[in-house]
Amino acid sequence: MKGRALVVLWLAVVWVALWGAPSVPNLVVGVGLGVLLALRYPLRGFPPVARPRAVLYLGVTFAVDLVASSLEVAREVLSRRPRLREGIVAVPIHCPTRVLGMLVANMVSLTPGTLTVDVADGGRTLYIHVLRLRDPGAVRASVQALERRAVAAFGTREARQAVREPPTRGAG
Amino acid sequence: MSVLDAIGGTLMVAGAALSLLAAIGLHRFPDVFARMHAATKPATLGLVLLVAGAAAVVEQGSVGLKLGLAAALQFITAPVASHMVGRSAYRSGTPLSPDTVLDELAGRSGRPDRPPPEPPAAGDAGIA
Repeated sequence: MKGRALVVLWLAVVWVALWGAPSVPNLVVGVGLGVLLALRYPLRGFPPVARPRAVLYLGVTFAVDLVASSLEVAREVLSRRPRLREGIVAVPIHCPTRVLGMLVANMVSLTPGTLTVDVADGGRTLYIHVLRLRDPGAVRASVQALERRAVAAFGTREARQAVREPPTRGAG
Repeated sequence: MSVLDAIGGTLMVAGAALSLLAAIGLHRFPDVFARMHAATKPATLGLVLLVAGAAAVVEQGSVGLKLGLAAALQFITAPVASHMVGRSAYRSGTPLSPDTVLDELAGRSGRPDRPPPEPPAAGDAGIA
């Protein structure tokens, strides 16, 4: 219910922002449309919990990552001869809900050197393209660290326990 | 010229420069997947900087709201778009560049085993 209210709020904000002028009729129509869409397309597992400090930590590390990854690509672009070692690495993740898995997959694409190319096993494995591959194990470790930060910010208690367990497949 | 104008201008130039680098990366990188890296990260940060610069220069609050929405939508859509392009490229058998050293997705995605047909030799088509 709380998740649905957040969806309605977000859609209302988008609507008002698109019109560019916050007014009462805009707000009423935006909320109405939001309610209709939230009822028609329910999102299961949409943030049931959000821990402010963990969310802040996730946001700050993500911002740093985005800047670092942009500079890394920029350096490759400007180098006289780009020296890439590309590779596709399978990374098992443990996110219990699709919304969390999607968040991790999307954030991976904006962090240095990694890009989600495919998702398999019902969202349990991410296939990640790496621009400068040195050590597949390090890629898995950094993606799983990102997953832990995301779950710490938005996951349920069970989810946090699930990501704390040692990876069962494909590690090493 | 106010301090805000200076900040806004600096941010916008930095954002435009990053967008330019992203475009050059699209041209220079060797395969679809490397190009998607260029199209996703610097392009996103470039747009965020442009939007932040514009918000510093423009004085109406409602414009700021629209600019914020543009940045938020970029964060939501850019990774999805690059994921979709990369996935369909992989599954349709687009060749990986010779710089590729590892492919753990091989044999797991319905990618055709045979290589895709050779492109027509230069000179056959009017556009080479």
